Amino acid sequence: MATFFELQEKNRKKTTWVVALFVAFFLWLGLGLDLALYFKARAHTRPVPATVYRETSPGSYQEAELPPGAIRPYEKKSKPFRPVFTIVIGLLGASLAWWELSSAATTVLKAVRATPVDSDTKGPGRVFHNVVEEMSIAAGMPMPSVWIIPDRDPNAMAVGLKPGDFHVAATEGLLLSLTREELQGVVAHEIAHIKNQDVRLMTTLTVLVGISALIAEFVARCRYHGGSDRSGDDDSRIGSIIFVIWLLTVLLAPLATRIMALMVSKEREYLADASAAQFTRNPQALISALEKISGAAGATHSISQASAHLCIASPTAADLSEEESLFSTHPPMSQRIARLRLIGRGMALAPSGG
Amino acid sequence: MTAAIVIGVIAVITVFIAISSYNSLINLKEQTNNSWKQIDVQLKRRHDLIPNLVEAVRGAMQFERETLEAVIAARNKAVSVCTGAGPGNVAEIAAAEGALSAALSRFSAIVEAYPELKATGNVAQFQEELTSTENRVGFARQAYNDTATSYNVAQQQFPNVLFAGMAKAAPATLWEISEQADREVPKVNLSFK
Repeated sequence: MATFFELQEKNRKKTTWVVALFVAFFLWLGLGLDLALYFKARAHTRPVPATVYRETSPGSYQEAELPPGAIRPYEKKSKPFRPVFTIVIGLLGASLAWWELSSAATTVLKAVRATPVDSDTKGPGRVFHNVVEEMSIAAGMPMPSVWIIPDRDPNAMAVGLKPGDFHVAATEGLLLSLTREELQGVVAHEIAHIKNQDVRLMTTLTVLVGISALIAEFVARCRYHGGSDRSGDDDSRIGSIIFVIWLLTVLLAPLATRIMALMVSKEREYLADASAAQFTRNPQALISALEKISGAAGATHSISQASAHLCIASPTAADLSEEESLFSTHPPMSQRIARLRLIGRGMALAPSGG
Repeated sequence: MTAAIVIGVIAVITVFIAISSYNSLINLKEQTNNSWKQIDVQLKRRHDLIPNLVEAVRGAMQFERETLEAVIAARNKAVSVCTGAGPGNVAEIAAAEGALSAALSRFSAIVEAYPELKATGNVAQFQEELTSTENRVGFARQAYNDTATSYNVAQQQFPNVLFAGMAKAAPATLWEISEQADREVPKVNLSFK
């Protein structure tokens, strides 16, 4: 059995990579524009007569008069390269990302109108709270805070980026329709998402994808007036090429990152299911919970598409179909159940222990 | 010259391997100790809770004095075994706690049979607390066993096995359920809403 500390380490590295990639992207957004503008400006500066120097003694130079009849060389005196956009966009991206990430958990919970559950509530809330506590013990994790979402469709989600800021939320519909053991399976899946640092990875991804789209749009509004240049010199050509590449990245990056996020997300779902089976030692309960959830088949209206990857099942009705689609956040239910069955068989065959 | 470089490189690599394997052993040892403490926390919680649970139903269960007393006795025994015990006393603690679990599951089964207790609605709450308490102990034990197993495996693996002595790593005892009677999982009703 792979230890979860290794998995966590892997995801932590992945998060670092994702962040590094986005930092590079933000820098390119600014730098590309700066470079394109710089070369364009250079293409439009007229060459001026150059000053000629003469070596008076080794290492020291003096301005020299040209002998009569000699042709004076020309040089381009362009403005020095000033990375204004690089700095502005870099700072903007960094501050937006920091602000979004630090408020991500509470924003999501507020958006779904979740209410907190104390440790001394009664009824279904009590059972839910107990189950969350049991599962965090099984996972060897600090106890997350517990929330109930007022929605009749069965679903659950996990949010939070760092210890002390972990949250597990379930809809009223989930608490009413599942047995205690099934609820354990679902909560274990959510706790596994937190423990494997999926929530951290996915939240970082979502926030950065959002911001990159935002900034791309902002930059696109600062319309670049290149136009066609009559002067077909090298500087102008380099400027145009850089600009075209830059424009392509700006247009395609949000889409590419979204697809990447979705691919990562699906892989993490399988892992969270497997971890849930390890924590509960009861894959059967999670299977029947997943069957009930997919049987309910409605869309969870209160949860937006943006936080879909944090849920046990996709909140969008279209995503509950059995077809594997590039744009769905979760693998098809039948696939997940099939894999869990396999895990269950493995557990039944293994000698009992622990 | 080349030989010196090769020897130097090998020495540096060896030192790196030694440090990382020493550190990973220490890390696992700490994790094992920590998950042991988690069991301890959950056992204490259970010990504190049992008198309250027994009090709550004592009035209605006068004919079951024997069962109630068995639970209390098992609880007191477990408390005395637990005090001041460390990971070295796993076997003793496991036996005492196993007996307590068995007593609790009998207790729980009997509570089910009292319609007047069921009518008050307290039973559902009572059962939930009992189930959760047992689950917490069980999951803490499972987490301990998982961590201890990976610690034990790591100690025997190469190259860790060379540095196990240096890291004072010794195999951790797993929490095993010894008696046949205790193997029966307490079956409590899980379907209340």
